[in-house]
Amino acid sequence: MNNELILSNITKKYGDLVAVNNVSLQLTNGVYGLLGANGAGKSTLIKIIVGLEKENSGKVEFFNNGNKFNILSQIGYLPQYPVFYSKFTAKEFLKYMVGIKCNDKKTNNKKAISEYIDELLNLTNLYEFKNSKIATFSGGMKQRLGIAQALINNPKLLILDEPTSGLDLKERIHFRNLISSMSMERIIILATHIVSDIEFIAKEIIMIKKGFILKKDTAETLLNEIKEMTWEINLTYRDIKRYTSLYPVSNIYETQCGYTIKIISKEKPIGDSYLVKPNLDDYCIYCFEVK
Amino acid sequence: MGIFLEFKKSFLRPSIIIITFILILLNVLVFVEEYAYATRRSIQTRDEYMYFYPIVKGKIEREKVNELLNLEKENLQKYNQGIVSYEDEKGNLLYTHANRITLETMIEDLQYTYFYPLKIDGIINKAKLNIEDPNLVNYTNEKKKNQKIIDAYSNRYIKKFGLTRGYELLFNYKISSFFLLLVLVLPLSTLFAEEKESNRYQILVGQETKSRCIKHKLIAAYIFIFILSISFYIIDILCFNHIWAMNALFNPIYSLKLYQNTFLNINIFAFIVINFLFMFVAYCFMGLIFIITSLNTKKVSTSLGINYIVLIFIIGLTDFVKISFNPFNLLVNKDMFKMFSAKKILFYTVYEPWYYLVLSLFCIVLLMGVLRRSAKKW
Repeated sequence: MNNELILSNITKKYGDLVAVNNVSLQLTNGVYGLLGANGAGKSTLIKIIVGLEKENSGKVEFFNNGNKFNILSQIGYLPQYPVFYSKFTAKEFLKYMVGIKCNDKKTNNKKAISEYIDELLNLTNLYEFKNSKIATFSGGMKQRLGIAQALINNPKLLILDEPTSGLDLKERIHFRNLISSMSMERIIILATHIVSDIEFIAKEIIMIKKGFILKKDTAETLLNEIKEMTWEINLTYRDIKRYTSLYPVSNIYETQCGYTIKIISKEKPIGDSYLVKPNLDDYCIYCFEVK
Repeated sequence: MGIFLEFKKSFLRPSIIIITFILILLNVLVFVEEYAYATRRSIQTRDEYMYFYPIVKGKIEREKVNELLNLEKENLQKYNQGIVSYEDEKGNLLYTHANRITLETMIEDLQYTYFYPLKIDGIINKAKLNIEDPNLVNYTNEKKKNQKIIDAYSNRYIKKFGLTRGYELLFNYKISSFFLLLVLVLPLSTLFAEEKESNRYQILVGQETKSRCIKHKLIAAYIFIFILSISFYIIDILCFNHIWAMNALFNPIYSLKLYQNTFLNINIFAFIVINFLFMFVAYCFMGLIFIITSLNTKKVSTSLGINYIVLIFIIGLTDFVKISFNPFNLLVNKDMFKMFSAKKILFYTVYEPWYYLVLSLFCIVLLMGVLRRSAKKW
């Protein structure tokens, strides 16, 4: 099934502030990582796609096998700070959401719905908590429940805004695998601060800054761009301050003989520096601080 | 399933349940306070009344009437002889003064029942004379009106004598409506505004999803209004039944003195249903206003504030200004059915209650239009 999401010249202004500036994108099946600093315009762009905000200009179109569809009927969405009905159990909440999201014909078969909900709960590792009240859930469990509700109706476009915040390491790995397994038959847009969540599963990374799309490419291509710019230097504690004031730093970690600092720089930094393999965190620093 | 869960989410909240119970309790307390004197007096009178009632209950027969008249005569003799109290054959202590009042009341009630056909025949005869009046030959409307009176009042008689005084009190009572609206305003004001305030609406992507959510909310809201209004109505019936036992549910509505001239030819039970339905329409109208406010506000406090102001305004409007298209009038519908008055809607003449009902339904249809517009923007 070929899905295509086309954003053409989307602009959104709040007074004088241009939150999204003439954004054009063309996305097909697969995972897209939407990266950007706070206030870069990620959430606004997402809200425009899901119809929560109205664009000032431009248009959003969705095609399935070449046929144009109403995009809003194809979306599964997990907002950045989802709030659920705390008095419901996980199963009740999903039943409620199925009742709203699916048409009446589908919701008449109670047994099928129950099986479908169990499937969603299994998929998000919440089955054993299906009869627990949402009020008793941890942040991670709520996030998983949010993902489960976004998957109702098997959406062709899945948009997840900061889906892994609150998830522990094991849950994040499980989540990454889940997203990967679903990406063959749908477009998945994943806005996150946690770069490692998308580094290995994203088909393409979309970098957004001040409402503009800076880059849209595969992680490999992006990292290639900075492979001659990512340096590490071994330092003593006293030198750290000097280097952080001179260069954009993407990482500092303690080693057996002192500290190692990772710098993004077009030129070789002073001292005993050496080139290392870059990752997406480094590319973000490059995009937002060097470029 | 979705509607049940929506009902559970929006209306079966501890806060709503507690407030409902408090206001039901308050309603009963106000009832007791309002009827405190009447309650004590009525219970005393009721007990006396119930003592004599078995003599005349059921089908009206000459022997029963005579027995009651003899009892009154005997009691009056005792009273005139200065006997304050005496014991009957079963050892019940009876007071001659109280008996006098009770028997007079009962005879008055019985006479109303007994002579009702005669009284109504008088009106029919007058109407017939009016039709035949040569001065009214050219007045078609007058003729039609008189013919309607004849049609409605013909063949009227009350077969059985029953305890119907409590019904009149019930149809007069309106304080419970106020308490009900106070309950209603809370969940209906929060119904949509809360979703906006908490950003929960964000997970409802797409017009179809939103429409289904709105539909479930509206159906759940009307189920809640129905359950609440029928609960309050039943509590009112139980309260009035306590101070004046009510039976003869299938007696004609005109067996109540309050409705001796009504145009309706139905029994008391059917009238209770109509009375309830009229009130229910008024609650639906108010509910719609509360829901529309909730749909158009982003904060629960704003929605609540506006709805309370609207509620006070409409109550004030009903008390001080008589506006026929105010559906709130349906809450106090007992006077509408008392008389034989009709009003014109376009080219049709309809009885006054139906006129108010049609106007109210028209207002509800208009509000539904507003609701649809608001729902599209939500």
